[in-house]
Amino acid sequence: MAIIKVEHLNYKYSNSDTQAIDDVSLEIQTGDWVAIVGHNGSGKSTLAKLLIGLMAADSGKITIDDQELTPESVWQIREKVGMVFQNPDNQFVGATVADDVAFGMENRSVDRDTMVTRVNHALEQVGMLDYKDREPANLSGGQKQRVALAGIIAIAPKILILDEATSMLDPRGRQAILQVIQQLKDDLNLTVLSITHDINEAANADRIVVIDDGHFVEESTPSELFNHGKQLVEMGLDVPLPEKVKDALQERHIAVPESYLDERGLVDWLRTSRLNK
Amino acid sequence: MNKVMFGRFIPGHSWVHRMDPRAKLVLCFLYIAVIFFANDFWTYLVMTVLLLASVVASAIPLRVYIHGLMPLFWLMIFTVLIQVFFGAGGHVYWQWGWLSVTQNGLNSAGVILMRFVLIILISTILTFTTEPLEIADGIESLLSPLRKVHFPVATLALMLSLALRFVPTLMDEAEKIMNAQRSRGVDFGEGGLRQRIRTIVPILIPLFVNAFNRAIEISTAMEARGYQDGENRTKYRQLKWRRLDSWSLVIYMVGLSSVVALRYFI
Repeated sequence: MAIIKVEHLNYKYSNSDTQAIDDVSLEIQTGDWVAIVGHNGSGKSTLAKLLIGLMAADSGKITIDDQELTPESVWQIREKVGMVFQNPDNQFVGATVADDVAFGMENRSVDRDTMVTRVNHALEQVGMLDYKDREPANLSGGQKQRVALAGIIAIAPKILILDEATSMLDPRGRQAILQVIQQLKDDLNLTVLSITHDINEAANADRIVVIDDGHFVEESTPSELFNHGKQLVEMGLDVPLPEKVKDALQERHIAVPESYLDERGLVDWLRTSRLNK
Repeated sequence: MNKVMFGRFIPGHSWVHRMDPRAKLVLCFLYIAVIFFANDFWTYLVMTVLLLASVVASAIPLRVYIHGLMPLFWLMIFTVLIQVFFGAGGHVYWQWGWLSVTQNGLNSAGVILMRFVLIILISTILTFTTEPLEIADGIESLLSPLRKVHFPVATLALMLSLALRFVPTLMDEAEKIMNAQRSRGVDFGEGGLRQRIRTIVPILIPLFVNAFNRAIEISTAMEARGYQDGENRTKYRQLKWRRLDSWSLVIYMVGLSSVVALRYFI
């Protein structure tokens, strides 16, 4: 079942001549992890903001969980969607970790006893319970992003939007965050929409949507997309490691399989190939 | 900047630390109001005893408080000297042109010095033992009756807590900008007044621009998390008034009302 449905969406910033979002239509199925990729300025973040009504589209229709996005329904839709932004510092509203996790619940008028148990539970899930009373100034970027996630776990949304949420983290912090999200997705049947330049994040996704200059380009599985090889760089993504290895082998005139291999697949193929003999 | 003790918070578990911020704020205000009733040896003795008792209850050594007074040392000297030399009336001890040292002058200098030191120390007890956040919570709670006259208390409280939360972040950023400008050859703290003012501009403008961007991002994030307006929200942080607070209030009331009584009835 499609939980997010976008039909012929258009949006233009008032200070720009070109369309930021140009006639985009797409459907996202319940429980899927969908990555939206595209180079800088291709309209990915604009799309995410339109989806939860932070900006109003010029034309087109957005339906989330069978509810059309209108000025009246916008708060009901935001109840179902959690969003994590790029800069960990600028989305930390609370004075301490626990306060920040509670912020979303305070907005929904959750009573205090429920808040206390849910704050503890959410912080435990992201492994930050020991930091409960810390202030944001004493936390690393990765820890702040975990707190942002905990704030979303506490309100238990149906959809999670990650707007380049891992782009300012080091590789280890990024890996940790992605693992937490994968776990959440499995536990809660969450639909995840991640906007990213990170190849590993995109590789984890069930489907990838490519956007370029506000146009919808294609929607495919990671392995179909990664077959594009060097074209990926133009899409705003890095080339995955197995593809790089294949390229390097090809340059040395060694025949490689056409189809995309993940790391496991590459290792298996290398083991059985004649290179080993 | 780390040398300034005034207005700092010193973590601890003393009686005063464990008190409700509302109680501390109210006591601090009452104390400051009553200081202006005190006018002779006995009233000041009561005020000083009350203050010293609070210092002891805060479990922070007196020298830390004295250290906190240091930045204001010159200001105190200055006001006292003005009172001493320009006071008029009473017995004249010494005169030179329009400068004179008189009995009344010395008296009022003493009174002003006492008030100065007591006011600063009592507010230092408040800031040493209360986290900024608790102060913000306390202010919100004390202002809440103003809701009746449609004063946006919750909005004010949110602004206060956001401002407090961003103080360290903005300090870090100012430091970063200063270092970045230094690495590009801007010399801070050199040259005359005009030159110094000019070197502030390359810090101030980026700081302001970044603050605007931050404000936009944080408001977007707040909206995305369901923030509509200040009212109709529940609160995670709760203040708890305990027996300790009531007792402190009683002790202060006895001390402060005896000052007022000494002034008017004895």
